[in-house]
This record gives sequence, structure tokens and C-alpha cells, in this order.
Amino acid sequence: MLGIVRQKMLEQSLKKIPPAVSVLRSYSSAAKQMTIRDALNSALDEEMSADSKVFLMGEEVGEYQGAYKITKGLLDKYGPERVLDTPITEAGFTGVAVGAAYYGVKPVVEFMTFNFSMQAIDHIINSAAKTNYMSSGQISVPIVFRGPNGAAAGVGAQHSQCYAAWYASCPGLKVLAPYSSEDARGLLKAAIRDPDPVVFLENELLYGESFPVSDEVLDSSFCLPIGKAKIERKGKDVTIAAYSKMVGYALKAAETLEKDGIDAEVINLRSMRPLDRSMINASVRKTSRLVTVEEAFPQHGVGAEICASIVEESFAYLDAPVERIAGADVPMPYAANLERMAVPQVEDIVRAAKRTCYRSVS
Amino acid sequence: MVLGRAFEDKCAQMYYYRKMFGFVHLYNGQEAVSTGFIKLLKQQDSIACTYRDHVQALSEGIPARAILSELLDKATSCCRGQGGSMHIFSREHNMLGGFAFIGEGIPIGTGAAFTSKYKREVLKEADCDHVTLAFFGDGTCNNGQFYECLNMAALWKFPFVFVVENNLWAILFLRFIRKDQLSGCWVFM
Repeated sequence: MLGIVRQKMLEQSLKKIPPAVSVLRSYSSAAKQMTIRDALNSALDEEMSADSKVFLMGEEVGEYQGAYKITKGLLDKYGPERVLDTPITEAGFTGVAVGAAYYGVKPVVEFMTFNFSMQAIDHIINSAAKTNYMSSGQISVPIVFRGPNGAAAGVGAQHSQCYAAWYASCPGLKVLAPYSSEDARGLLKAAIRDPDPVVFLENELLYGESFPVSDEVLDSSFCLPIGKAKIERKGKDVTIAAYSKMVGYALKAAETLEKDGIDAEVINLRSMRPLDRSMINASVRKTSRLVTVEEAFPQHGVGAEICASIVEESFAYLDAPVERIAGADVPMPYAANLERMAVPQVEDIVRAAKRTCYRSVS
Repeated sequence: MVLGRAFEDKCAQMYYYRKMFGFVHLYNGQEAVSTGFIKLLKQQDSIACTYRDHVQALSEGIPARAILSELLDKATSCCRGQGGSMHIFSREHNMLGGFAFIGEGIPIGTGAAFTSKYKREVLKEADCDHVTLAFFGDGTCNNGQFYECLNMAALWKFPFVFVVENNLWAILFLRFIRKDQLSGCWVFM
């Protein structure tokens, strides 16, 4: 009974949702190419130029031009007062940045990878995420924590974990994961302008990849809304929801599935918290089948949360059980062949999509 | 100081009458330390403490009624009952909390001092001379964040004071039993 009431309420809210296709398509001119690295660098540059309260902090962000060269050129342009090379003290410098944000300056803290954020997680959760609530709105924390997240290549168990689910479970944080250069620029700018703490999960293996960007994306005022997913590929037979690098894999899987007559809709989640439940539910109500894809550990993950949302809001629309693809439930092995087996591959997504369509997977 | 002592005694009484629940940490015997320091501060200066924060909050000028209401779960309190004994915040009085984890307030206070320097040197607010104090106990001097912030504050020359309140106890451990040593540092306690 309550389920019907909730579904009717969701239908009301779904009617108010604007068209799922990105409006940027209508402005798109000839494709310039931009790497993720350049997208992030330009976003940081423009936001620092527009607002002198924005500053960078992290290991190797200055003299070394950034461990992954994301902050290249920024020390020369803005000086050591605004691009701070820190000692190797994640807990200390993260706390310093949070304390600075209490006073309205806007730190962008770089973690060399988000694995090192575990050294500082007390400050991210307890000092940053919870403070606006604990102070009953008196103190807001306009801070961005950014850096590469998830598996790289051959870096072993302690350098390969994905933290999307951990951070996205915490009230008070916003958690973003870009896929394309448009995402990287738009979401990082939105994160820096946001008055709340934002965890910005990049991907090391995507830094060098190029994506087409329109003139609108290149404009310095370009910004994407936080909390909205994007439909990268429209389809009608099965919904594939993914974030970060797995969006690329999902798109490749969709091409393979098309040859078998399955028309997949690929959703780029962009935002883990707030999660765009409306768009995901609207898509599943259209296709009746769902595959979630993530590189992270499966238990208590992003896919599990999406599955719960579908069951709560759109259970009657499902024609097959939700398929959840995730990384293997083991610490990431070092050997290349084992590492390949520990993260989802395109074939895994294709197989899962076929299973939801009750097709033979051989 | 007298207000601080009376306040803490009242908290103890309320706690034993079961009007107050959860974690409450009293400051009896330590009033002189923070009261003395905070009396010298200007309105724009800020402080960060540990969970033992009632008397610092009183010294900062937060009304006793607002703090006691917070401890008694009233919506009319300084944090609408959302913070509690360990998380007294006040933007107006530059009280940055109230932190549960040992050592957590030190980097926060260091960050506030950073902002003071940033405002003066980058944002060119020439009249900005805010100072920040962090209050913490002798047990906290075992914590890594204390040393990390000593390093950064000295490196970048922040207007920051580390105030160690040596009450001879680290949670429930008497100091003479604990093994710690700060050799090579000037330590005023």
C-alpha cells in the first residue's frame, strides 16, 4: 500500500523532470578534443582566476607541477601562497584545509590517490561533512577533495581501492565522479563553487584520454549541475548505469549488444551523492532491465544502493532481476593477469545485459 | 572562572539527575588556563578545542543558557541540539568546536590561522591580524596530528598558539604510568 503511494509520488516528480538528453547537444559545434588532464587543469585555472579565495593544497602540486600534472603551470601563475606544496601529512594538511574553509576560503585539496585520503578520513567526515549539521548551519565548509580514485595498473592492493561508496554513504558530503572531459570541467567547477564539502573522484587511467568538447564546455562560465546523471546513449531494452571509467566500458558493451539486437541505454551517473534516483528509475521504467557497473568492491556498493532504489520505487516495472557488476571481492592483486580478472571487463557487462534479456550468453 | 566552575557543577548535577545523557566532559580545576588565554583575545580571534569545551565556550561569550540548553536537547540552544556537549560551535563568537577525536581540533585551528595569514597576504586585508588558539590535553601530545601541525605552523609561520592543558590524565591513564617523551622540543605545559 505504502509502495503504491510512494510510486505515485515518484511519478509526480518524474513528470517534472526535464528531458534526459543533455541540452548541450543542441549547442555542440565541431568537436575540439581535450584530455581529462587539460580539462581539470583549465577548470582549476579558471576558478582560481575568478575567485582569489580558491587555493590548492597537496603533495607535489606546486614545484613538481602535480603528481599527475593536473596542476601544471598553476604555481608559476598564482604563486606559492595559493599553490601550497605540503609535507607528507594527509591528516594534518587536510585538517588545516578544513579549518581554513570554516573561514570562507576555498581550498582544493589534492590527494595523490584517494587511498591516502584514508589517513585524513576523520577530517573529511567528522570535521568537514558533519560540521554544517553539528553547528546547525552556522559554519559551512566550501572545500573540494580531489584526486585519482580506483584501480590503476599494477599498483597493488593498497593503491587500488575505489572510495565512491564509502564517501557517498555519508550525509553532508557531495560525491562526484566524472567520465568525460565535459564532466571533468563542468563538475570540478561546480564542486569549487559549491558551499559544501565535495569529494571529486577522478581516474588515473583516464587522465590522458581525449574527448570531444563543444565551445560551450570551453567557456569559463561552464558548469554542470551536481546531482544529475547523464544519458550517454539512449536505448530501450536494458539500462546500464555506471560511473567513471566504467562508462566507457558500458558504451563499448552497448556497441557489442547492438549487433545482437539489444538496444542498451547507458547512464553516466556523474554524481554518487546526491544520486540521481529519478533519472535511473525513469530509465528502468522504460527498459524494465538494469545492469549496474562499478570497479569497486561489491558489498555495500553504489550498485547495491541503486538496486535498492529500483526495488523501492520501480519494482513492478522490472522484467528481470537487477544485475550488479563490480570488482572482485578481494584486495587488488598485483600480477597483471590477476588484476584483469579482478576488475569488470566489457565482456562481463555484455554477459550481464544478455542475462537480463534472458538471452543465451554463450 | 567562577561561572565556569558553577556551570560544570550544574552539568554534573543534571547528569546524575539523569537530565543529561551521553558524553559530558567536565573542566573542573582547569578553568584558569582557558579563561586566562581567552580574556586576552579580540572578538575576531578564534579557538578550537577538544570535547572538553564548555568553559572555553563560556569564556568566548556564548551565553550559559545557550550552552546548557544544548546539553539538555533544546532547539533554542546554540546548535539546536544537533551538536551536543562535545560539539559547541558558534560562528558569531568564533568558536570552531568542540571535536570528539583527540587531536582533531589542532589542524582545524591551524587552518583558521592559515586563513588569517591568507587574508592578509593574498586577499590584501591589511588589518587582518586574527590569532587562533587550540586547547588540548597532555594526552593529545602523543597524537601524530599535533606534530604535523607543529611542523606546518612553524614552516608557514601561522599566527597560532598550541595550548597544552596538562591535567596529568590521558583519558583514563595517569601520566606517570604512560611512556612518552618530547625530547628536543621546547614544551610549555
